[in-house]
Amino acid sequence: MKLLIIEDDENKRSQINSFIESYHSDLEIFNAFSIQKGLDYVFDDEIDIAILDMTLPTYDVTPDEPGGGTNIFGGCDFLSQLDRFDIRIPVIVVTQFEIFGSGSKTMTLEGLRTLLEREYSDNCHGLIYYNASSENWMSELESKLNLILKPFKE
Amino acid sequence: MISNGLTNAAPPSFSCRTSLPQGQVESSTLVGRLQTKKRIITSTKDKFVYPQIPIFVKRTGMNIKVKDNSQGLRNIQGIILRQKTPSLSSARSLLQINEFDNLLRWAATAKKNGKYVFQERLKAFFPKSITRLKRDPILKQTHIQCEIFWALSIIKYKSEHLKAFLQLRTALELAYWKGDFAKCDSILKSIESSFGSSLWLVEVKMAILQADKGLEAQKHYLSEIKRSGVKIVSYLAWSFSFRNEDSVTPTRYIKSIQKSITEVKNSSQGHSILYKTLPSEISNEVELEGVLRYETNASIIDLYSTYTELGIDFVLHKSKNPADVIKYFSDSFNEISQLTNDQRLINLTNKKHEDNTTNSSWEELVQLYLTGKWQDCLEAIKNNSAFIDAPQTISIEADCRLFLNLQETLYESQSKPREDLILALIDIRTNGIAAIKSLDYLFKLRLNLRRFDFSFIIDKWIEDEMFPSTRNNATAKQTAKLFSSEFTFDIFKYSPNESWNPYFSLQVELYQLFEDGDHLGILEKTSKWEAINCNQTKKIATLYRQRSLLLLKQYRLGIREAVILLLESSSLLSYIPVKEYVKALDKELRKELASEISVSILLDIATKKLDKSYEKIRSFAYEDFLISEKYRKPSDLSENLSDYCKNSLVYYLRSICIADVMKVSRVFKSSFDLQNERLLVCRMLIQLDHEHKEMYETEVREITRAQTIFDGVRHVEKSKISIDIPGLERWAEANLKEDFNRLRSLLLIGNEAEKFNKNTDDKKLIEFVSSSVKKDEFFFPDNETRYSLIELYWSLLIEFLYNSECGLDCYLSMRIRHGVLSGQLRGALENYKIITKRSIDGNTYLSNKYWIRELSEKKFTNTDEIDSLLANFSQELDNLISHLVNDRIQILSSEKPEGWFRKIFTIHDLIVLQNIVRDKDVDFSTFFEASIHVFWRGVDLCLKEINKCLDVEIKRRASEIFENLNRSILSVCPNDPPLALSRAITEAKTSYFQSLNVVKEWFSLPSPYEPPIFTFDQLVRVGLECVKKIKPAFKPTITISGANVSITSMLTYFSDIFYIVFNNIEEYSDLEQPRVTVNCEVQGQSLAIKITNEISENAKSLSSIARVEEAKTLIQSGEYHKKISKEGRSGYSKIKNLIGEDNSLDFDFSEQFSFIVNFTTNFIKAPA
Repeated sequence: MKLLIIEDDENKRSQINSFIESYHSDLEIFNAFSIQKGLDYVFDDEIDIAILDMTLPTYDVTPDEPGGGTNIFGGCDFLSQLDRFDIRIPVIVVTQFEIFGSGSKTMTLEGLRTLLEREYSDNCHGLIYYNASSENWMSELESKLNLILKPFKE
Repeated sequence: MISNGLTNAAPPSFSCRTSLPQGQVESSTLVGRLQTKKRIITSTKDKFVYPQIPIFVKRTGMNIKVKDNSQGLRNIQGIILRQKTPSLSSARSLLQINEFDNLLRWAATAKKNGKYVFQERLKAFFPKSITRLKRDPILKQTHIQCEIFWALSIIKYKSEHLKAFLQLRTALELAYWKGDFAKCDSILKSIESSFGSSLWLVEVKMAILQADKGLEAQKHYLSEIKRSGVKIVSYLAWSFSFRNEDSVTPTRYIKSIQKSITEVKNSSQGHSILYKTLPSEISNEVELEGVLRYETNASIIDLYSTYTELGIDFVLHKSKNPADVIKYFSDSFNEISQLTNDQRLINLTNKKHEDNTTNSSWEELVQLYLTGKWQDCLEAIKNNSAFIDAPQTISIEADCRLFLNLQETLYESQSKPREDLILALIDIRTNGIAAIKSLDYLFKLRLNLRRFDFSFIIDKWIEDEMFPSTRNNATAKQTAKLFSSEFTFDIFKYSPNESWNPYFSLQVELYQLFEDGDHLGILEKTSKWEAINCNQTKKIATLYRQRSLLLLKQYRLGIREAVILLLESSSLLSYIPVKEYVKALDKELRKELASEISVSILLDIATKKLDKSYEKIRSFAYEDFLISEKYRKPSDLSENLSDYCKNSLVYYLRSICIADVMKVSRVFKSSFDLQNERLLVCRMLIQLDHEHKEMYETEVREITRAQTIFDGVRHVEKSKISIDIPGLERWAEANLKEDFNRLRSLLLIGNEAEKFNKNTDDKKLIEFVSSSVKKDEFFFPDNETRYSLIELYWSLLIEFLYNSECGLDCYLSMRIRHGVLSGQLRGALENYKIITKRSIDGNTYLSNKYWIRELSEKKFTNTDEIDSLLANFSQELDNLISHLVNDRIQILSSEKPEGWFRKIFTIHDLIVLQNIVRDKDVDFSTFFEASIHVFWRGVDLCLKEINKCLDVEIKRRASEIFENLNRSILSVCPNDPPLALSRAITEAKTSYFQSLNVVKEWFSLPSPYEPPIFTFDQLVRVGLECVKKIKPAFKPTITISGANVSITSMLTYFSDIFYIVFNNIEEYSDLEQPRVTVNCEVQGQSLAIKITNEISENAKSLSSIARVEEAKTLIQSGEYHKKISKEGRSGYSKIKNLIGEDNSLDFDFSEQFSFIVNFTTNFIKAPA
């Protein structure tokens, strides 16, 4: 099975990769650093599961590419595109933000959870808060992955 | 300089001389005692229970609820007079409300120790001067019923005065419409001498002064009020003055008032201020009670105005308001109208006038109007002085002139207020909601003249245009009737006949069909909508046809027609149910209509005009259209441009096929791809929409320059400090440009300009603006200009720091605080496996399995202790990261007292900005750019301190943590230290410090902060590239010689010049690959540039020689300034305009087959 990690933060990506490699060695892992690259994998490589960051650039950042701007809710844009093309893939959102935006446009983690449940329930299988110094996210991710993988393993 | 006395952060220069207890209620110690007594009788537990059993008594035809603990006047007279300071507030609280009339009569003569006790208080109804106005405290809070009846009793008590006042008010309004400002002034003086000061007077006088004598006069009047008025009076006068300024739009004014209201601690007072400054809706009894209570210390004129206007509003909006309150007002209006002859109240309450109009000349005028005899109609108005002076005929005259296309009035004596209003109305009826200036004008007039009866009609005009589908509702009709029963015109009461103009007959017929639900009938009746020539008639047809299409769910046709209409005229926006269409456009319907180019256009209009949140589906619709047409990208459309409606295609390409929308598509793999696609789109647009060629050429140049700059600075950005400048500029344009324009207008007033240069209070003003202590709610500045500049930059600074999508804090959060710093610093240690994570409960750290296993294998005995030390070490380092993230990498505030980023705004910054603003040619964009520089200068100061702190404090703390770990491990096993672990710790420490050095680099100014440097050679090639992007077949052979100087900050300037030069070569050389030589020589502070290009034999024709001669003459005559935007010019006028008068420009054919351009220019040499 193919698992796609869409994450622009190098350290977080490496942590998630290590975790999945150690617990789910049977999964083939793909990495994308931006919304568009993530969509490319989904469309071109028949991805089965995706782990998605929420705040993402449009394009992979390189010396030749500034990224096309960072979208605070880039993860939602990704999910909207899946919905638009009627693509069904279980997606787990993993974010290290507790609050999105500021001032009147602030959205809390709970607010985001509600939004994901309301707007993207066809694909989104949950939201996990990532903290580099804690292992909570690992157990949450493990349990959500197991739930998703269970039907395939039976 | 006087402190306001209410705030710790006292403004350095405050306007109100007197600090009086506005909002403080009259003391009533006796009431307190009585209530204490009552408490003994009726209290349950310890809480006083106020019995609320209503008893209905008959009183002047009204049902009145009376509290059973209230008493008759006789019972309380003694009690009140025994008070140390007899209080009207106490008397009112104790008394039955049906005794209020008697109380007022008694109060006029009540004496204690031979002295009148309430005379002074009663004098407040007629304040002798502005000093006396609203000086007394307001009365104690009671309940809504009490407030209504208290106001009514006072109005009845002073009804004779009010009757006289209303006559003067009517005369004043008439004089205003006649434009007779001298008479207005004289009437205002009469009102003041007869009834004293009032806020009504201040408000009306301010509006008339502004209309008659302008800004300086009204500001002078304001300064008089500020000298002696109590704080609330001064504040309200300032807000009236602010509102009247030409440069203040209604939106800006409303925002300012709403912002200051948030500071008001007392909500009733807040509602009162809102009501007095805006036409705000009072939506419930609590608010109503508050507003009326805050009039208990007002002049009789203000009390009357507030009471009647509030009451009218309540009665007009019956469905929204409580029935009992409406009844109180309705009944009271019957009484008041008989006593005061207030025509509005008579119109409102008098049912017999509802259906018939008795004035025969008016009826004749209406008939002329309905039959479309526009000229006769205008003559009829001209020949009847009652019509000329009546503002009711303004709408009719505006329509007649609109149909006759008459910009000027027929009458010589047309008054200015009337003519201004007619012109605004013509503009609004022609351009709909796109007539922003005229709508603003009308709305401001509505605010500034809100004390005139006519303001009700202005309300209706605004609503008719903004919400045309509700123009025939009951409230609108009643509002119109309120103003005048004699000159009221309701088209829907007439039956159309053949003589009627189609504009009117269609209105009535379609309305009837719509009311009958006959939507197919409407579609049939309007089937030839495209053939309707008259714009006004087309609007009516659009209104009903579009609503019917929507109700019949004919979305494809509806949206297609809607877009055709909107592209024809944006004035139709309010006539088309755009929002409803968008709501209907769910995923399924979007799929069904994917091939309709109109869907993406409608969604784009909705995104821009109604709600930004539609932008995602707008982007989807953009691509869905291409996909359904079997295209991949917009430039593919170039093969079949003629397949589509030109207007729609131009809109689609120009407004929708932009990078921000196109990025939704997977076809584009990078920002560069998007830019290149946009360049191709621009190239298509130049052909397709030649009329706007220059706009697209400018965009091509901008994209090419942006690509050049990016190429020049290509590197991986180390700094994580950033703000989104274009985003912030958009915000500032929308939110602060008006303030900037206002400041510039104020600087045109001598007195204000003089104050602007006074910098003595700068420090205090900056401290005041930047203080986190809550401002005084009634603060307004003495030195408005200086204060405006400070507030302007402060508002920008706050946005630069805190804007949720573009500000520094957003970038700190995204790029550093949320996981990135933690990942960077922990990552350095995770390689050495000396750091562990927190357990699930978050309280402890996990065991370091790696080192325990390693040490166990080497037979270490104290592994548990070492494990505990490593856990402790992990915690300490995480705490340090957490401290940095939560406390230091923050913007300093009371919540984040250790934040590294300070809000820096110095006196020096202010002087820099002051000099920018004083420049007579400065525009907002320049001011914004200067503000960005000021901001980065402040940020740079913080960054230097941050680097120092990271170097010293943070590294020291990290060092301590590592040393502690090493020491502790040694102390656990002094004789047999775990060497591998010690080595890992030492190496991890080095790695950690290297990571900290990387973190230090994050805290540097982003590049390119300094403008990039280009050589002359590069600048020439950028200009050429801009032409080649539009005309790819043009491939000249370029030779550049002479001085290849390095130039800074002039990319736009030089690329524009060379774009014009190469564009001319491409257009006139008659060669696709001409040879071009460019020579540059430095001559002191200038460059002398010579461009020679090859031309074909045919290029030097008689016509081209003539064209060159014409261009030369134009430049020599100095007329080129006016001609630069004209089509068909050679472009040399533009070059001359760019290089300026001080530089030379020559151009001509040479004897050979070539053309030569010589010019000199200034330049900024890049530092070595």
